[in-house]
Amino acid sequence: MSEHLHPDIDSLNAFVEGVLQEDERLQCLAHLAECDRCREVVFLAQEPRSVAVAPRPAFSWRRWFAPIPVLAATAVVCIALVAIWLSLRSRIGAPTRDVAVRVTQPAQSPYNRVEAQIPKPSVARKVTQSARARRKPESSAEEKPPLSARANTPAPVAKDARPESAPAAPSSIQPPPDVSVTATAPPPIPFSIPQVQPPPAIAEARSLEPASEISGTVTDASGAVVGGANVQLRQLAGTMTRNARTDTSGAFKFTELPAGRYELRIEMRGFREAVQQINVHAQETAAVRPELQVGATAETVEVTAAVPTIQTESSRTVGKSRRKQAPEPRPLPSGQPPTITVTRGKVRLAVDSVGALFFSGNAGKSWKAIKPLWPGKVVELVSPAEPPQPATVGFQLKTDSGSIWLSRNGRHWYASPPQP
Amino acid sequence: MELVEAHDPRLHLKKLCDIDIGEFWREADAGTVGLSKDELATVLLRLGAKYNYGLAAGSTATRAQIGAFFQALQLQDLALAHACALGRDAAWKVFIARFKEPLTQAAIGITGSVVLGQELAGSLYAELFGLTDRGEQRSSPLAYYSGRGSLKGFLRATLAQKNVDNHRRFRRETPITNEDLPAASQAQIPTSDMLLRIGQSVTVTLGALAPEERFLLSAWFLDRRTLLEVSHILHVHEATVSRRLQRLTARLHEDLLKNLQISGLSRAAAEEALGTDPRDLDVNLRTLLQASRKSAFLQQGASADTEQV
Repeated sequence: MSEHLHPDIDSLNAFVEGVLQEDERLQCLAHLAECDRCREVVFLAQEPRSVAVAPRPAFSWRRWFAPIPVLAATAVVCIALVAIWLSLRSRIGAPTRDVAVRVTQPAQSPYNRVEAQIPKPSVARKVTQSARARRKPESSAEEKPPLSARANTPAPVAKDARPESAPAAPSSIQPPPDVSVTATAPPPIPFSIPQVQPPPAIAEARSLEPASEISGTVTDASGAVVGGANVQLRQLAGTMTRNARTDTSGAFKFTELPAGRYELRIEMRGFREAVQQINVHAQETAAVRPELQVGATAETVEVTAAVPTIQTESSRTVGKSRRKQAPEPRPLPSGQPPTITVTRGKVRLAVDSVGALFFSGNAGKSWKAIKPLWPGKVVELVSPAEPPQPATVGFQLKTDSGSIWLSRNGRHWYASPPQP
Repeated sequence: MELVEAHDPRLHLKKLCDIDIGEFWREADAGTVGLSKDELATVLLRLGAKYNYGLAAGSTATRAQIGAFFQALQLQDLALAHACALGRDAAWKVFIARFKEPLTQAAIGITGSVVLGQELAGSLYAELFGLTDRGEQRSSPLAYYSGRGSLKGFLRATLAQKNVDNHRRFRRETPITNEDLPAASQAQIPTSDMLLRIGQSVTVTLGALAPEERFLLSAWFLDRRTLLEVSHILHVHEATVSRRLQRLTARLHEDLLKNLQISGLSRAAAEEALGTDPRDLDVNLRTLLQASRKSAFLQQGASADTEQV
């Protein structure tokens, strides 16, 4: 192969850059197939690919926007996860009743107003609103479907709940002056909105039929817990009857209860039968502490008790008060269980089993012992909100010696002047 | 016509493509590099005549085709290269500013060494300047730049060619040690008649290949180039090169069998003959593949003699 047959450098470069005419390209290929020298030249003359894709001025500009599709996809995934989480959260923990009310009734609707007052208790009682009241186990749901679950079911189920919840919403009852709570609307829960809106009457029933609970601990006269006692709960306005047995710590609990008035009957061998009436309002947990007296089984001791309730002015109020009162109250500093608990706003007073008085300014999160100015034990503690007591009296206690003491804030007490 | 071209190339160019040379001159920015309109017109006319305005040999270009050919050229690079070849200082300033760093980087990439690369680039500058020690007429390789490809690619190719020539000039043949050879095949050594038939069949089969197929086989089997390198040369994807190679080798096998059968062997004997140890064959595949069937560039021989760098 003679040297003069090599294509010139310009042709080789044009071949490398692919700008040769087809016939000239074929001539070049034919020569390259024969000439290893020119093959080597064209392979060496290639522009390195890394240089060919060297960053241009626009490249750095694009680099900033290159992750946008990835970020957008990530954002979409995050939004989807949050939506799923909110959906699950609303199905598990959010009050279905709130949703039904929010969907069917405006905020000013008279159907979603529930008012109550705190009556004077004569027996130890405690009222709390717990978020756990809405998280019911499957087993209890099978026994009787929760009202909150039924709120989204067709009308017949909701109608069943209306008679039970109706007594809990007397419009003539006035709430205590400083217990009112205002709250904002709960976040929208799109997955819980029913397809068909029920009529206003059904919506009212739904708004008044959330699940309630009754829990308590059975003790004897010395304060010791009584395990294995039979506890029977009977709905006074209906036919529902439920039974339970106290565990080793003397505790029992009834869940998924419609609001209304109940009779609690406790039986235990060697003790007198104790009967207690409890008024349970919507979405409340009534805590009772029945005390069994030693005696024959045939004897019955009837105790009349009214459970203080928290004003549920609207469904929004319920949502906020539930969140505020969600934390469990701490035990008293004395280590004794509380026998009387009175709540007024954030102030909570408690009397333990030995008659000592304790004060909590944060709804039971922390307790402080009140130094007693009175002799003996406290046997009665109330929060009077009506005349004849003046408005400055927030709490009233009675000792075992019969003396009555008053307090405005629960911390400072003074002896009640003798009644005329 | 020769007379007109010699006296006023601009008029000849205007007559050819009905385009004023001033348009090309402005587009090429030739005034910046010190190239006059006459000089640019001369270069364009020479290129058009050399490549027949991008048409096949024997075809006559129309005015539109002539204009399109000139428009397709890298006019700025063309003006710069020819101004440098004429020794214009302004052009060399532009050239140094644009190509000093890329040339050095290209030389380093080609040689694989910073020192050798800088040395190669330095030697190219002296050559591009076109002056010899004997004081002869200036002759720069830049004068052979046609503007069809980029000037940067032209310089890279020039560097590559210098590097290959230097390497070949000082390369020494290194014998392959016998230890690296594979063990001899246990197959029966075919007769000389069989070997002759096989050799003839291989020669005929390889001789019937198209130029691109021969280039593919040479680059892949002889030069051991990668698929990526071959794909860059052929301007196709490397997967395409792989498919072409696969099809080509399969077709080669079939063609060899056919040629062996044509030479008088049965199918079974032909397949058995293909299993012959290649070391028994008196066939030089490199020679066969690289055998020049026709003088591909004989048509350019006259110019190549003078243009070869």
